Amino acid sequence: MDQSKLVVSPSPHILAKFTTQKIMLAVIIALVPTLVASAIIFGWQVLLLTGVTVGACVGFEALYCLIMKKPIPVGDLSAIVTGLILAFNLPPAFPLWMAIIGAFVSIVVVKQLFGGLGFNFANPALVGRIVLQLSFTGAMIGYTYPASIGGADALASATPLLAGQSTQVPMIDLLLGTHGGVLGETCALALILGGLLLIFGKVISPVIPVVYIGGVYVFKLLLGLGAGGALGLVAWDSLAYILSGGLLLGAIFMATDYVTSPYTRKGKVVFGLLLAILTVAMREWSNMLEGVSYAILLGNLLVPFINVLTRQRPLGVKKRAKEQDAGKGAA
Amino acid sequence: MDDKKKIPLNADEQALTEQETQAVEAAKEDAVAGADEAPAPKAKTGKAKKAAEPAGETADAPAEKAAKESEAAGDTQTEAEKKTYKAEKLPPKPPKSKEQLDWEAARREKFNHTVWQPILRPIVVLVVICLVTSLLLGLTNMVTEPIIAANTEAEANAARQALLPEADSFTELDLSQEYTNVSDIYAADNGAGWVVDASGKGYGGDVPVMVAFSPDGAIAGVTFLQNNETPGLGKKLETDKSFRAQFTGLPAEPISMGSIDKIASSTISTGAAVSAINAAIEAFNTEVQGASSGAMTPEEVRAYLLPGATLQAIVVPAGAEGVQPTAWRDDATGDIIAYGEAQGVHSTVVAAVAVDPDGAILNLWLDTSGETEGFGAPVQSDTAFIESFIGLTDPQQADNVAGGTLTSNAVKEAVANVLAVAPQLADAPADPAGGTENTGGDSSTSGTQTEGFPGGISSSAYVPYPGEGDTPLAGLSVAEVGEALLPGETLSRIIVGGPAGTSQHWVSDAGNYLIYGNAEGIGGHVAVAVAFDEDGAIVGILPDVSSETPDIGGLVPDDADFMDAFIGETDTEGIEPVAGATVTSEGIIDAVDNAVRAFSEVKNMPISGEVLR
Amino acid sequence: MNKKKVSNLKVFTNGFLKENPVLRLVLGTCPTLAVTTVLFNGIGMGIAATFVLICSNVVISALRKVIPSQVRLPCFIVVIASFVTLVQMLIKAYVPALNESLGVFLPLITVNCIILGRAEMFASKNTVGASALDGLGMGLGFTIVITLMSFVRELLGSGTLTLMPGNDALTFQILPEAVAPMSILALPPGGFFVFGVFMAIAYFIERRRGKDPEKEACAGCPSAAGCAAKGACETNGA
Repeated sequence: MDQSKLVVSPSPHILAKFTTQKIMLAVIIALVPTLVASAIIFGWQVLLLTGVTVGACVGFEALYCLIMKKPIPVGDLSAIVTGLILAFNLPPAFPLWMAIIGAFVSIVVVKQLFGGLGFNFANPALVGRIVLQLSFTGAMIGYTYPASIGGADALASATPLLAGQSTQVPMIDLLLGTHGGVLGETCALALILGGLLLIFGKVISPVIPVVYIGGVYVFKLLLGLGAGGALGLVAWDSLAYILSGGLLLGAIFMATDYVTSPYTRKGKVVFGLLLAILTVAMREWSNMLEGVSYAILLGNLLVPFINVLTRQRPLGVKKRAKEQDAGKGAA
Repeated sequence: MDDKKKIPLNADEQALTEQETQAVEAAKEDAVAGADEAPAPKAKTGKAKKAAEPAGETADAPAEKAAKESEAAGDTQTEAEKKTYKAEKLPPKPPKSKEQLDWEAARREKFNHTVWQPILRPIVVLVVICLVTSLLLGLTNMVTEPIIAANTEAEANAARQALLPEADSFTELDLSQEYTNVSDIYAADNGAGWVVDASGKGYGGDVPVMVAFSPDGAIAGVTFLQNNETPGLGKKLETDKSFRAQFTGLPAEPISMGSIDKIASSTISTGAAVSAINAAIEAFNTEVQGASSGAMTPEEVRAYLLPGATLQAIVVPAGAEGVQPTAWRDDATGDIIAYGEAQGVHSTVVAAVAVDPDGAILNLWLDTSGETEGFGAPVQSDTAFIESFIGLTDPQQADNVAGGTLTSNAVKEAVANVLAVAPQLADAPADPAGGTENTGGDSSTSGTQTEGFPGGISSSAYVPYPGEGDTPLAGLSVAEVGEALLPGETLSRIIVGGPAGTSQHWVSDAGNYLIYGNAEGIGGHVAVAVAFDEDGAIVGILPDVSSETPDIGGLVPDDADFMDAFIGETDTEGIEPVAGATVTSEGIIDAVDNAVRAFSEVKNMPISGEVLR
Repeated sequence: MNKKKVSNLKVFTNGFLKENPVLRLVLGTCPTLAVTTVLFNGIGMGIAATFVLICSNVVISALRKVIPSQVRLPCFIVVIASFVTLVQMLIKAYVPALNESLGVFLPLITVNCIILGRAEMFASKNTVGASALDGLGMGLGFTIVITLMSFVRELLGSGTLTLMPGNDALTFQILPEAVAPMSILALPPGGFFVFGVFMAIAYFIERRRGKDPEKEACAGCPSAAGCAAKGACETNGA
């Protein structure tokens, strides 16, 4: 054999195309439509708020790693993604200093203190949002009423969920986002567009968003039918339901976080269903306005167990157990 | 026993009992055996053991020794005596051998280990410690208990004092019945009023409240005590002064949720607070005002509806829908009293209607007590609602009660049922079992609905400010006022925790605000609708001076200089009242001032969803 | 049993940092998290617990030769409970505002692990004088920590500092009204977080003093004397 034709080199021998940086970049690109839509709906202050939040996230990450003498991971763009998602959870008139505190919680407490990227126990932006909600309730629910879009009469109501009647807001407004709410909730079209970009770019698996959103739709449908509504009306109502609130943002961008979601497909299905049940339950029967954030948080905490339960059995394991039983029975 | 070792007994021994003899013999035998042979056999019976012990000692006199040892060994009195006697009479026993002593020591040790240490000693120690500590605590309690009782009393008194500053001390009233939500009522000793302790079921438990009533029967003030509601939302009940202030001055009638401004995002807590206050009002009316709690008797109802009449019970024709089978007719005038029923939200609503022969409603009494607390239930005491029926032949023309639409509709349905069957009742046969009754009283007492009413008191009904709730301001609805001050703009109502002195809060799509301010004029309530731009500058005002003197105060809004002085201002500093109509002008200025102060609170509050188109 | 004679001063200062009951021994976390929402509560609870701790330490130490080991726990609890009841009665009589503020956590001092823990770990094995000093030191350590925690939590979580509730003169609004306080710090999650931060600070200070708790394993662990799993921590990887 001609030895010279054999190449000897150290591992890795197969490199995936994706680096963390590329994945994060893809997510950022997917978030851009929503950013643009919010800016149009709510005004230039959106860009300021987003910029400050993202800047704070990156700054805190760099600062923390500098103090702790770790290599600075800002280049992997994950802090920017966290900053964007966190900003999208805030209402347009949110005070900037509160956003900075939120960035601190997300990056330092949830991510870095636990070990950095890959070690967070829950989605950092999500926990940041929850902390801000508990800390500054008033500021978080002070939805600014959006200015009109392109001359058309703008809508004069609070967020659809707050008003309690999703159908009060016409579907077109729900899709276009010309209603009150936080930055990232409103423009459903932009969010869906971003989601499709990620799915077709093979960055995220479609299982979780589809199962989650579909699950919420089905449960709401069942609840509506159970309360005696006509199918057509209930179906339309449920459609409005899934376009309201933070469901799309949460399902597409927060629940699909690699670190805090299950890695098997079966696990993803279970996760999605769990989130759907929790979200509907919280929206319908609890005192809270929005159930998505707490549902995703609880889901994140349960992910290790879901992983264990839905782990794929290696080939032959079942057979071995059966043989053992058979053996015991005979003896 | 070994015969060979038997020692002959002497005469003294025969005086002993048989048992003793045997025991002594056995002991002697053991002692002797112990002296000769190595280990002492273990004695089987307790008595034999004890008998063996004295034999070992030689130092003391036998009797005393025996007595001591009996004591040490825990013998009973008789046994001790027996031993003493034995020791006196019997020869001294041979000294115990070393093995004997060792064996006894070992036995004591074993007793220590098996009984004393593991069981007896812990028990003894624990019991002693418990006794000592109980003693200590008892002593402390004796000292501190009176102080604690005095403290609690003083604290409660201080809270009551804060609500009724003119009162000096309080005495608790004996309540005639048990109330579920009211714990006690205190009367001020100098007649300055009453304070009621009540509570409602909130989100996180009870929402306790203290309601003070002034001598004229109106609410003097309300304080919310410590509760477990959500911090920042329901917990604000404890500190929110403007929320509390809404209740001051209200009459002691059930308050409906629709008529007060709630604390934002805390419907349940606010509902609990209101139901607590309502419970206090009810208890106050029953205990202090002497109004009958619960429903009036049927006779009382009829006496109220048609005073001074002689009523004959009549049978309602079968098939009459929604009407109770027994009705009453005054044969002299042809007036009829019938009881209509309809299904409300939670219960059957009953309307006792007095109808004249032409089918017009003379008077009305309602029972909506089974409806939703705070919404439908107070409908029965809503004066305006009831008076709107009087004279109508079509009950649908009456207005609904805000917040109690469904119950109001049920009432209308019940009344309509009565009116439908009224023509037939004119000729209905008398009910043999019903009899007749004289309603007595003079017809002039059929005044306000609130007299003798369930939960009503004899003071005048609450007069709303112009513009409050559904009341028109200067004859205009909110939409019309908005059109006048902010033409072309669409208004949305704002959720707000009720800044005191204001009653309506709206924001327009152009970013302008409309707030109604309330104040007092010379003849009664004065209200002003104030329109602000987004910086808080006044763009227009619309006063309602309907309560004022027509040609004096009533002309103030026509004074262009006065009205223009407000435009463009962000406060009411330096605005001069109109000469000759000072009180009314001051009233308008106060009302605008209230609206101005409310503006900063209202400015960034969320919208409730209600839109005027 | 190693009877290393420790100086009285060391016994006293033990409770401040090296063996701080809350931050290092992690005892008494329940009242730490629950009552530290208001400054007044922190100070009051600390003083009450310190008093109970000293008294119970003294009594238990005095009785240490008498109490048999099978019933030592019931005996300790009875002694502690009676002192707590005593303190509660005194507080209800002379400082009722504290009783209202602390509510149920006052009688819960009985099961405050610091008191039972020190009775078990120290008072039952040492002289009365040393036990009294230990009680004082531990109590002061506890008081200092919960006072600091209350200070932080109330200041940042509600914007106020309350030295006497209900008394407006002694309630200070530190944060200006316009600045919204971070209310999560007044809620349980915030409490845990602040607690964690304080523990980290204590750990950090210990490390700076050269006593690296991680590296020393059993030698550096303050609970080593009463620990049943001796050496287990070492094998689990410190």
